[in-house]
Amino acid sequence: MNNFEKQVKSQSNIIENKKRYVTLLDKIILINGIVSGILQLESMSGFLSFIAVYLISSFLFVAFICKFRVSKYLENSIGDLIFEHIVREFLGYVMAWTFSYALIN
Amino acid sequence: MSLLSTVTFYVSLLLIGHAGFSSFEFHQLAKKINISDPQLPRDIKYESYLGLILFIISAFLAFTKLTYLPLRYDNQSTKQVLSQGQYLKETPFNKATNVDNMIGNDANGEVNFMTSFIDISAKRAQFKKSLSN
Amino acid sequence: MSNDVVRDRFLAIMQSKLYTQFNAEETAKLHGELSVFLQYNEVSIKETDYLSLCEMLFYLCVYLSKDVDAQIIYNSLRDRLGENSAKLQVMNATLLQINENDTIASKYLEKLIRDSYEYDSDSRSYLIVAKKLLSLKIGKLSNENEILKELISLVEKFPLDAELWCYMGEIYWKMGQLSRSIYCFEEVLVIMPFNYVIFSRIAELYYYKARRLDKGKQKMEESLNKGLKNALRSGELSESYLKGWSLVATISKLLGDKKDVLNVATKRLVEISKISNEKDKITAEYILDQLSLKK
Repeated sequence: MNNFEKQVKSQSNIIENKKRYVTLLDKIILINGIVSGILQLESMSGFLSFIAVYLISSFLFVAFICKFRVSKYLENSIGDLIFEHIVREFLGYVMAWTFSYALIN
Repeated sequence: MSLLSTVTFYVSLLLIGHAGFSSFEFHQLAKKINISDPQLPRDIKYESYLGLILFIISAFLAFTKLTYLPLRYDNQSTKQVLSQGQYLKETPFNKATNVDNMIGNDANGEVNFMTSFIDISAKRAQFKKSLSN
Repeated sequence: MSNDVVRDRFLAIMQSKLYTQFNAEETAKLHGELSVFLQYNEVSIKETDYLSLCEMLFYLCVYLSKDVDAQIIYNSLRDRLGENSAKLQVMNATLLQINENDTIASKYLEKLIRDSYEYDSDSRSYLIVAKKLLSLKIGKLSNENEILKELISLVEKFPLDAELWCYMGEIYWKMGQLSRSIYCFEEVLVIMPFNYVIFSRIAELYYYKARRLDKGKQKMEESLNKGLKNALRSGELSESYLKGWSLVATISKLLGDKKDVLNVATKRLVEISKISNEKDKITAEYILDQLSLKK
């Protein structure tokens, strides 16, 4: 497999797959932020909730959508799954969190 | 989006909305009677957890398997939906092109078919002839 | 069947320009389906998609001699986008060609080139218009040598356009000059290195060259080996590409000493005869039969 597997990748398919993954994460993380606001989570527990839901969703994605064969659908597994979108998702989370926190308090 | 996913989506929104409203009421009340560090009642907590979990489930259920229609009409089963049973598109180039081969596509058709150099007059005459038969 | 799947099908046909390869019945069918689709989905699809589907509908109308419909589509597109886009100018030239004649269309395009494109820095639009003009000229030329002269002068201006090289390859192939044809197709590959269709076309040409032109066993084997390499690359780029794998099977069988390559090709062809579309399935079965590769 080694050399054959390293061959050309279809960039347009990688982009499409990533887009579907990011849309999924966006939805989940925003709702997660709202729930954290409803629960009035503060400081560390809020961040922990973010990390937990983020990791759980990417695990579920790997398990159910990719059927544990990430390299078939994404370019470099860990980087694409976790690190590429973490800042974007975190900012979205903080926005939803503070918004619903202020609304309820 | 499948029906199941739509149902779970709306149920989860309902739960989260209800939990949010309850939480809001509770905090208003707590402010009125001056409780300094109010602890949210357990049922509201569970309701919002449940709402979040249902939402995650619905988001995953919304993933449907990718389907394609064959591009050409030359067999009787043109309206048959083709699928590889996958949720995402495969990235290795040799596998990615399998979809094109399956539906009869050629991604570089613009070049390979040399579309700029089609003799339109000849083509029109030929079509007229074969359609009038 | 969801609307998205239907839209994606139309878009795929438009992007690959597959509609130019349809026969009359298919074109008529596609025209009917597309015009109904566009009528009901003008709002629900993206504007860029809508406009490009309109362009496809225009050409379908032209092919089917529905001149009035074509004129209406052209007018609505012109009102929306203005007259200065190269694609619209080509459409206009097409209309002139079918309503008037080739000479008037050529004159219109020549005037455009003389007045603006010669001095503009917009080489992409220039290329589109120049290609249309060339196709109008080619209709009048009977001799392949004259066509080649025109083509080469355009290629000198635009050496990086794959379609021109591709067409030149086809012309050389028609003239029977296989080595030159192969060279042209190799130029296409320099521009589009992952175009597996062209790889298998080159393999096909090497195969013909070996069968028809090459004299002497050594020369023939050399061509066949080159053809095999190209066919294998095409198979490497696309796992279920029928033409590529059939050529691998045919050539390796002819060479005789490539047992493992032949085995791989047989395996692939058997797989294609199971998983691909109806047409490919039947063709793959037939090829396996012809080469007597079935177990």
